[in-house]
Amino acid sequence: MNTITILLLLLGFHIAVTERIPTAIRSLAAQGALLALLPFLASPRPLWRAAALGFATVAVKSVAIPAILTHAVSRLEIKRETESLVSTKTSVLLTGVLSLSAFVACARFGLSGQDQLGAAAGLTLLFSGLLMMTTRVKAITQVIGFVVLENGIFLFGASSGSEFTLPIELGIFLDLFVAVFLMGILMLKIQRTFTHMDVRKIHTLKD
Amino acid sequence: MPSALPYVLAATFLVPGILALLIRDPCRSRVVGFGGGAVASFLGLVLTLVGAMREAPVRIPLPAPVPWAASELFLDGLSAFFLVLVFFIGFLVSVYAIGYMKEFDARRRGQAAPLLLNLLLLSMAFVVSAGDMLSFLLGWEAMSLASYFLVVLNHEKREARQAGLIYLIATHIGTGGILLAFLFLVQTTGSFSFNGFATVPISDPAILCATFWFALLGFGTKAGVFPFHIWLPYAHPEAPSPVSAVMSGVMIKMGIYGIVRFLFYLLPSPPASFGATLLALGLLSGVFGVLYAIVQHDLKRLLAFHSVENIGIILIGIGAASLCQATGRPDAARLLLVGGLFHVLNHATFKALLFLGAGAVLQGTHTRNIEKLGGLMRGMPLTGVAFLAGSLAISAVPPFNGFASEFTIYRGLWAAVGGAGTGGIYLAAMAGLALIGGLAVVCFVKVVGTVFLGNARSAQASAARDPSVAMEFPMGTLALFCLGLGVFPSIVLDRLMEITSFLSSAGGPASVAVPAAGGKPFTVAIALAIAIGGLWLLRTFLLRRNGQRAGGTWGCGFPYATPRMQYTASSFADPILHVFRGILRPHTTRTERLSGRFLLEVEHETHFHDLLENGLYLPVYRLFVRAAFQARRLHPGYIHLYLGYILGAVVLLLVFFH
Amino acid sequence: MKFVAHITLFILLGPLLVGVVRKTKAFLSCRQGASVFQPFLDLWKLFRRGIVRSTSASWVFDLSAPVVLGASLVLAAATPLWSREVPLPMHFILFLYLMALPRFFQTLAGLDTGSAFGGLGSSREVAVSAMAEPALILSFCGLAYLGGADTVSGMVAVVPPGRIPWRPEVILLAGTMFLLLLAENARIPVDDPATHLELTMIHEAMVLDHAGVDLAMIQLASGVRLVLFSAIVSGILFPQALSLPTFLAIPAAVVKVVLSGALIGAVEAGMARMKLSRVASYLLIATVLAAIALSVRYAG
Repeated sequence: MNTITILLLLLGFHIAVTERIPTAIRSLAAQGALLALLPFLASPRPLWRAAALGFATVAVKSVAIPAILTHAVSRLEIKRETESLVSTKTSVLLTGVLSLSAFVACARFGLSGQDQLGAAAGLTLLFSGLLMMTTRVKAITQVIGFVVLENGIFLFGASSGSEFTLPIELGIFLDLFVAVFLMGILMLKIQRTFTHMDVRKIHTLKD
Repeated sequence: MPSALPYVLAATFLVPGILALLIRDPCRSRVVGFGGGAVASFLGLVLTLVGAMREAPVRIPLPAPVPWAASELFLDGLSAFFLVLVFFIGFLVSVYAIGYMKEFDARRRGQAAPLLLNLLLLSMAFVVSAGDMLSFLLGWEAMSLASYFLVVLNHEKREARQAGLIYLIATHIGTGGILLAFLFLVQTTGSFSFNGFATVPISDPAILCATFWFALLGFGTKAGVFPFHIWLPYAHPEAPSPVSAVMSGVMIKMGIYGIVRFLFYLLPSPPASFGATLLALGLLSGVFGVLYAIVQHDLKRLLAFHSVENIGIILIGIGAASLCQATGRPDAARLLLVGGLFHVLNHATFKALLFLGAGAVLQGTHTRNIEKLGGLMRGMPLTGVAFLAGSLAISAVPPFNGFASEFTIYRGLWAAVGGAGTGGIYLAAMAGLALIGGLAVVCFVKVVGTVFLGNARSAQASAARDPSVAMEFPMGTLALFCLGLGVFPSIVLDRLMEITSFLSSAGGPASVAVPAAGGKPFTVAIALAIAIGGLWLLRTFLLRRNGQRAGGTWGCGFPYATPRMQYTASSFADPILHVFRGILRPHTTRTERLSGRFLLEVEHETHFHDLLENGLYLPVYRLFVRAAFQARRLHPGYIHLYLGYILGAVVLLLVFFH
Repeated sequence: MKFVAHITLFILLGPLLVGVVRKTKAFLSCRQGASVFQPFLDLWKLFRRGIVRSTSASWVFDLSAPVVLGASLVLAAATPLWSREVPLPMHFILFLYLMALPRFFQTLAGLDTGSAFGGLGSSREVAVSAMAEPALILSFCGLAYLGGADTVSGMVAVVPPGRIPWRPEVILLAGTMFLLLLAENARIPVDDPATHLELTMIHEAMVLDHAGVDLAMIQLASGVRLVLFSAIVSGILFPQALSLPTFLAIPAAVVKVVLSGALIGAVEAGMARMKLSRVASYLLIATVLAAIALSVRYAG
């Protein structure tokens, strides 16, 4: 469990600092696959529930969403570089500061050992997802940030000791899937209408 | 200790200085003046080592300057330690000055230099041994003025006059701060002597805070702590090199002395926030100092920025010590304070050495621009070796003394981390210290590499030769001390542990000078000596067998390599500049001259402006100037108006203050 | 006796590790590759050759190779390779700062020949290692905290108490140390040890003018330093191997070094060299990871 948490964290960092979109998508898929193991480890009984959750996680997070994103990249002919409003160095620094504050915050919660690590890692992913959404230029990287954020919530939930409730989790997956799907369609529309995907320029629509 | 000794010592400093003014022949005047200073310093050093250190605390009453307050010299362990510093560096620098100040022979102003230098040394000795506020301020002011006149000794140069002015303003703002801090203490305790201050604690937290901040402003300005360091990179390069050595090695430490005196002696039980503030300022000074140093091309200005850095390291030790003291970890506090004070001594040793080395380079080549130097190791081998030793020491490379003190600070921080809760601060300090150390290596590899190694980049550089014995002797001695204090640090550390014994807890260790397990610098130094020596012999043997021949540097197939094609100091600093460009903010201008499509000339210039200088001090200065112009309207020159002012003032006084 | 064995093992494993890395790289890129013992032959050849000494060089250049190798050997004497008892126990701060000594002289030697390549390599070398310094200190602090000792041998060799041997901070610290291993030893994402005459290289540019005996010493020192870092990383992950009896511990140490060689080789085969301006981010990530490991330690 700890190993998985650490790997999730490292993948989160990787997504946050990589400058190539396909790499980020691949890491996102890997993160989904790792997340799928969590139900088995956190609350393995009853097995069918864990299996169903794991299956759903893999299906949505490491197959469907990466597929949609990859499709969007190739369909929209987006350039491969993630563009950011701040330099890589700054975003690493910010991610580092945020993750340290997540760890400090979790230490204050008074959780113990394993749970604390998971909660902190979840919080870190949540923060870094949000940071990605705030600082990135392209809509597609914001979607990636959104998924990272959701992964963080999942991890946080898994570690905070509460049971997985199947209907709620499945509902969240459905929401996520629909959200990413819609964003994909929207990106396509934006691309067609404005011939670019620079979110900075959307503010011209405000009138 | 007989009470006449201080007067005798003062006389030995001042009489040769005055004699030097009277002697016509500049050469003889130099020998008498500086030689007298050297003798006096040596005498002082011996007296301190055999007398004051053993007998401390020593009290010697002085004739009172004002009727309502008694004056005295009060020498405790801390004072004695700083006295050693003053006299040790003073002695070597005075010897050096005999040789170096030759360049002032032609100028009449040069005749005053011995008196001023001796006065500076004497006043610093007076500052650290003063036992009451009035004598302290008297010494402090004498020190500031003497050093000001030494900075403007090259008064024909505009830069020197400007540097002197900035220094004069900064130092007087500082004196104002110190005066206010003392006045708060006087108001609370009703006493003028340091012992009196220490007995009555300040109960009002607001007054305590104000006292601390004014003291920090005053002593921080003198020490060159980060936001107040602005004068330092101007004044140090413009002063003659021996003076820079004294200013950087000893005089800025008077600020540290003041901070330690206030924090650990005069203000009983300061709150944790003071220590934390000092720690933060120390980290800022360290990082900014070394970053600005890396991008300098002026050898002495670069060294001046390194003073800011090292003051930062000292403050990290002292600040963390105060923080530990306030949070109930006296053993860590003691180790940290010892580390900070040890670094005071070490910095004095290697920085004086580096400034003296820079002086020798300046005398040999007449330029401070390191881009014009190179290959000096051939013409000035002794200076080169000494400078290399100083560089290794300032970069905290074991087994040199810079490492010994940083190591003590690290061990104090590590001991402080052990306690739960606030460990993060100390860990951050350790990481910061590590970054500072790494960047210092960058800077000094750059300096030694461009100044002393490779090929000469100009005719002056290839013609430079080692200076006279009077200048070599101090450099050699200091270089030996850099190594010696690094290999045998316990000589100083044991003394410092005694001085700081008031910090220890009941069961605290009597001597933690050398870590119990591993890391004895001496063992490592021996191991290094054996390994390197053995390999050197092996290399010599193999080369004798296999043969060695001289050839040009391999130019990777390009012939006609010239010295100008060597890597320059600016290129060397570029990777760091690139990474930290957000902080350093280089201003680059580039002009190209084209003829048709052919590029004839490119001019590329990069400047660095101090972030604070442009962002904070310049606007304040402009505001001040504008206000002064407004105020000028008040005195248009009519005598009737002035009389009116006097009348108004008298009326107002009578109305408001019965 | 033990001292001699310790140092000899380091000296022998150095070239072997370099050979293993090269072989793995060749294997993964479907090449035959030279034998893993090739570096030994290279060193033998270099030790028997004379040198061409640059006319611009001074004694600093001559001294550089002995200092680099000598200091690396002293560092090796403090590193636990097959036993937790080392010939020269050393405080971890002293250990880290002692690494600056060979670097100082090697970079000076790079500048001493007056060649632009040497300066370029030196400049990058010092910049990279300066930025690696906070990460190194923090991860060593973490290790010292875990091991409950402040000597290098003590902190690496202690099995951390706990239910499972690989607690999160152990994994994080091992990962950080591996990132630093790559950066400090001029391996691929930071530097490329296989290129020559590229403006992008760091270490190789610096030693361009070293030949014969000098070059052999410097290459040997690089090998020793690589073993030193590998020993620390594998010591963190498999501390049990250090408490085995000697006749088992030495083969175990060799296996560990060979395995880490294979790992380094795999990384080198699978990655491209980063552009230089990204190295700062890379090292910043290492620093952040070390800081996280410490905060995990504090939290848990």
